[in-house]
Amino acid sequence: MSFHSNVRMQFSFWKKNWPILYYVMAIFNVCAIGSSVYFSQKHIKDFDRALSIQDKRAGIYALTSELSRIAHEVNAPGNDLFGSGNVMLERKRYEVAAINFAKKTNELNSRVQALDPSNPQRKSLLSRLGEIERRMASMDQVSTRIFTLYQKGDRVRAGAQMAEMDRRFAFLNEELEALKNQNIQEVGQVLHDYRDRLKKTRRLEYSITLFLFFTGLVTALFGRFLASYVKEAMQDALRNFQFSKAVSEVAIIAVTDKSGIITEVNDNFCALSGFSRSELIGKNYLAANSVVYPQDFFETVWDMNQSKNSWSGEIENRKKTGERYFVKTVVSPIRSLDGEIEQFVSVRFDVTEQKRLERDLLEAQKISKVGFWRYDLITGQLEWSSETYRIFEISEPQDPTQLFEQYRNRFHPDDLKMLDSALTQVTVHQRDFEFEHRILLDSGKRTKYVRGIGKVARNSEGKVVSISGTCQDLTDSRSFEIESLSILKTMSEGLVIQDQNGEIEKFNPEALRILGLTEEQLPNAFVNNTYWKAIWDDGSPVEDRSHPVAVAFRTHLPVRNVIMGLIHTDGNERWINLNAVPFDSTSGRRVACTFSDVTEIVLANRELGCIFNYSRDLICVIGEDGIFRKVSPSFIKALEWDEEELFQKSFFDVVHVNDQSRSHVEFFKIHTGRPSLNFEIRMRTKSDKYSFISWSCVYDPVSKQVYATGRDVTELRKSEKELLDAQSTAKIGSWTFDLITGALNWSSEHYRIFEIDESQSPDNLYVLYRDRIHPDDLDKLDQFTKGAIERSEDYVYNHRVYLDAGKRIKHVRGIGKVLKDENGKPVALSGTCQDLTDYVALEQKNDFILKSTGVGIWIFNPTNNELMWDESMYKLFEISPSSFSGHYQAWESSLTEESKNQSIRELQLALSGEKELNMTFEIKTPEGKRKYIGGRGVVTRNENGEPLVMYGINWDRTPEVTYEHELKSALDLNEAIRRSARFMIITTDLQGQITGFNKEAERALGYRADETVGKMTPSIFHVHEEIVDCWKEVCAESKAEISNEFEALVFRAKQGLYYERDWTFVRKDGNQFPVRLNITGLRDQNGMISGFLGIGRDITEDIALQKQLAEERAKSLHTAKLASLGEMSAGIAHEINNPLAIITGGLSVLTKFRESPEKFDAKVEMVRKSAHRIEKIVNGLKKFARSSDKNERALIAFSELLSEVLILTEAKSKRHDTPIHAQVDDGIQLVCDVVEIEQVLVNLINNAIDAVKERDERWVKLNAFTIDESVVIQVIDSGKGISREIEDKLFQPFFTTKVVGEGTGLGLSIARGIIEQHQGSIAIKHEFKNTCFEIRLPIVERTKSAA
Amino acid sequence: MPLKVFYLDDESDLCEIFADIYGSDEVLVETFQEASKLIERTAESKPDLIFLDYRLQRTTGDEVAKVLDATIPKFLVSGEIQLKTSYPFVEIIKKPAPEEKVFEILKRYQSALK
Repeated sequence: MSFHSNVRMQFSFWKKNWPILYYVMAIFNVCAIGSSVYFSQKHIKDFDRALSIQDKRAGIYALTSELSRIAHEVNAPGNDLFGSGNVMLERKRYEVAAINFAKKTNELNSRVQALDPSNPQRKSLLSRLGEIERRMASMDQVSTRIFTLYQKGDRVRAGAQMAEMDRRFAFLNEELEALKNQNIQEVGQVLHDYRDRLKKTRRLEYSITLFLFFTGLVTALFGRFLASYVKEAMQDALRNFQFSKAVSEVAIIAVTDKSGIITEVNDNFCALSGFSRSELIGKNYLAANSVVYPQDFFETVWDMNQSKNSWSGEIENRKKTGERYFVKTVVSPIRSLDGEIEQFVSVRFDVTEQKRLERDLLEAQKISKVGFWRYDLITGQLEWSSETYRIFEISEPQDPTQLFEQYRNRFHPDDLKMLDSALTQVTVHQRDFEFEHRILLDSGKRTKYVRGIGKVARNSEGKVVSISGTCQDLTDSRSFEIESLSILKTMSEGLVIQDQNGEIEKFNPEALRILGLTEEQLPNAFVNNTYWKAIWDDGSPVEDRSHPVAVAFRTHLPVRNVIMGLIHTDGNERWINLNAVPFDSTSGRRVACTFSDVTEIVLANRELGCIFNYSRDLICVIGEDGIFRKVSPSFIKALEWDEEELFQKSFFDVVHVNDQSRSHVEFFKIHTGRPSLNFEIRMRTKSDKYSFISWSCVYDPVSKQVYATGRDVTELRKSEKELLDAQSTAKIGSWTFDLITGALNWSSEHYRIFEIDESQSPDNLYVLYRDRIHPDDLDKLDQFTKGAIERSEDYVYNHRVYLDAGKRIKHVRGIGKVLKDENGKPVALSGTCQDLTDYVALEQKNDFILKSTGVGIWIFNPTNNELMWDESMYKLFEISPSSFSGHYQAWESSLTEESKNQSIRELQLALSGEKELNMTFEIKTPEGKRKYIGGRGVVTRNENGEPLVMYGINWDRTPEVTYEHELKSALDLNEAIRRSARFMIITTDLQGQITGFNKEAERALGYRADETVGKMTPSIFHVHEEIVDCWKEVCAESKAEISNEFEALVFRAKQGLYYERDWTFVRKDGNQFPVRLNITGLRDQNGMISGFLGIGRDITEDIALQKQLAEERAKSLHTAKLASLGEMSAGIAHEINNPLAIITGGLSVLTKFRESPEKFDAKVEMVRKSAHRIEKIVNGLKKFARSSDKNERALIAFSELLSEVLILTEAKSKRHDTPIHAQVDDGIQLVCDVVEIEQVLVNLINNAIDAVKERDERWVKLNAFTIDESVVIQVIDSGKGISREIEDKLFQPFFTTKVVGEGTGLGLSIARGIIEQHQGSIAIKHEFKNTCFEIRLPIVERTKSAA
Repeated sequence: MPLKVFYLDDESDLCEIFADIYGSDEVLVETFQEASKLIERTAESKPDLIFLDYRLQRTTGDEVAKVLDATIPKFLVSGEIQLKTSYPFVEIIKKPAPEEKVFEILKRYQSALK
């Protein structure tokens, strides 16, 4: 190859293959980029290092700056000290600054230490830091001296030290600056170094990159140029070798000499033929293998010797086993350089399979009716396969140039557009096509459906050079499809084909109609139940898993006849009968669902079910054998059999024996096709009762079943009978008169009322009727009849009926109603007649009774509030008829305020039907009199239950209500007493059994009422000994035989005597307590004693009180005595001191009269008398002052008692010059407490003296005498008497008429108490003109006894 | 001169004893049982001393004292336990009057008289 041609070739190569240049360039550029990245990374690392150093140094620099600042702060306080003069403050500032400085110094030291140890600057930095620390320390010493000196007041020396401080600070600062500068220098140096390295590295980088780039370029451009020569040669050799090897591997090769003797075969030859190499080599090629040689083989082969280069063709061979095979053979001569054939080489390819495939393909084409075609766009040649010819029914072979025209001519005219479009697709757009079209054959009589598929084939330039494809005869499937579509379209069921995702692939119109969806909606309708919800016939939702389609998918088995409801989103309800059949399609498993609309059927069944289940009529289905097939719930309920039992029975089993034959007749009738309506028979219930059932039956020949509905008319029959009975009872007959025919019909009761025989001819009936009407009532009859006929007026006609020639009269009410036709013309009269004879008589009797009893009758219309009263009502309410309003208000306004609300409420309740009207209300008559009125009423209502009229009566209940009130009050009082009484109230019967036991008895005795009532006698509460004592007393008193303790207790009560006595009661717990018990007899209405009432009171407190009272009285008495004594004391003292003075004086002068015996004796006597005088007074006082609680009563002569009293009162009497005159009958004796009686008399006499001491006439008289069995003692003074106003209060304690400080006023109340204790009395006698207190005391003491 | 002493007491025995005990040449005692007589006598002959009993018949000693010459020293003698008087007696002596007491009084007035 010449250089120029090579260059051209290279140029043309690159021109064609210029992308290769890019690849090469890309490779080298990648290398360049890699190099660049490498160097960049190197730069970054280098930079980072430099930066790190810089950071460190910057940090050090910053710290150094900070130190400088702090150093100033350290120096400042010293200077400021001379300004502020505050040593402590400045010292503190200094110390803070020094500490900060030290911290920063340490930090700086740490940073420097952190520098790379190889860094030469590190050491010097550390050294500088050390110097800085030393200088700082020296400054510290100086500052300390400064503060100390200043504190001492040596400001001069302190100032000198300040200068030293400044100097050392300057040294420190120098060092800090040097440190900073050193840092800066090094940082700069680092950056310089970095820059220099960067420069060098960059140069290297650029160089390498450029080198790589250009090297790549040069290599790309020229490298091939140089290598192409070498390569080409090597390539050729390699190519040939590889080609041979490749061919040898796939082909069947035999090499023969020029005579056709096999000299070499390859392995494939042996493998395919079955002969071994040794069997083949040396054999004639022709004989060795071929069986059938094409005709031209020999010619060609031998001709090859002449001019042809090679022969090719298909040869059928036979293997060693005899099996045939086909090979495509190329026999080529191998010539020498001078052109002589030296060898033949046979290259074969086994095309047996290909042949078979071709054959199969043809067969398949035939079977599948798919033909093949190819159209060469360049040559315009159209090739068809046989099948294609057959499909288009064109005889082959055809002139290919005509073939297309023939093909096109067979196209259905409507489908030619598709053909043109396909050709355009191919030629213009160079795309494959596929379309279905029709072809018309037999002059259009037949149509075929063909699918044509064309695929483009492109050359190496991408240009479409040919089109090949298939055409498939779809006629059969299309026909099937069309038929199927027709079926689908016309079928009455819906059909959908659904995939496993629920999407619908195919559906028919009926499916759309049934489902109520559009074509757009249906495909995804089943996905997520978009449009409807599926339910079962029981209303429960269909679960996805149990859906028939899901079941079909899952089980691969069809699901048929599933009734399913679809509830649309719009609320519509549809029911379908669904079948789901799974099948496998080319695109996977599918389910074909067919469904029919059974909505109407389901709804109808539902309705039917409702009717069947809820109808009150008896419904049953009976088989031909008469056995029940189905029965409604009403049937079961009516006849009381359950379903299972009925299904075992025939209809006739439950028919009354007497109705059997009739039933059979009816059943026979319906089997002939006629329905049986309303035949009534009796049916036996399970409880052997009989119900009247009216049946309607029909026979269905298809199902061969009888369908029967029955209505239970038992009640109707009963009602009819009752009505007849009622008519008879109520004596109401009915009649009708046909105005057109003149027919008159009466009921039996009507005949009976008018006492006309039923056998009478209806023609005579009216005459007989009129004959019986009272003559006076005939006119009215005619009027009413005329009114009914002419004016369609209904009427009510009360009249009399003459019977037995007028001997008897009946009262009859006739009611007539006019019946009209559709035009409103009266056509008949219908009515009732009621025998009111008894009622009238009753009314008259009632009227008489009401009038005589004063019971009033009223009628109230709640609709319009009209109120009607009879005469008695007016009298009852004492209202005149003229003043009665006739309105409800008349009643309401008569009510008193207290009874108004309740009365109105009762009325309303009665009107509403909640209760009957039965009340008592209070009215106020116009005169203001209050009366109690009883009321009862009944309400008549309409068909809706609304009240129409209320009838009632009222009567005067005043006396009984008053009595009730009084009785109630008494009962209430009694009950209140029972409940609240603090008395034990125990009642017994005659035998002593306790019949009543009140709360207080329970509390006091500890027994509950239920423990005592009916179970015990009161004896159990008593101490036995006391009852025995009582018993003895009663026996002694009455001389009667007392049989038991209870008799003893109640003996006196039985006599009607009041019996009260103190007892000791015993509680349930055994404790005893005193009770004052009063027992009386309870009498019945006849006055006979029917029981006993014991009222007991716990007197424990009483006794205690009495005791306390007695003690108090005793104390009071004693106090009064002392008061009296005190009152008397002045006088008594005087009365004692005088004789005492006489005694002492007398004794002192005795010596003087020693010589004179008479005077001596006289003095002695004087002394003795005085001593005796004193003795008496003292004795009297002693007696008087003695406490009376131990006093006993004793019999004493009154005169003796009086003398003591006079002694005690003598002094006062003398003092006030008020003589006391006593006049006492002889022999008066008293049994008394002497001291107490003395006290009383002393008090009375003292009071008398006090009362008259200011008077001119002053005296006190004391009389004592006996009258009957009493001693009367009168103390009279010369006073003018005591007023009655004061008299009542006189005996009250602390009442006094004396001035303040004079007497305590206790005397008379005590005196009364004492006298009363003696069973006596003390009172003022007003018969005397003077004041007289009279005491009466019994001569003999009366003891306490039961009266 | 002898001391003239009047003594009023409704108890005759006490008058007698008074006179027996205290009467002497130097002390002339006149006793009275009635207040009116004392009053008359005092008017006639003014005593040097008067001893009056408190509890008298129909009157009291201090009532009597009020009507007597106020210049005459008066002594009230009484057996009362509690005694209230508005009259400015020289002294109230409790019965039985201690003899020494009365003698001392008499002696005092005797001396005064002298």
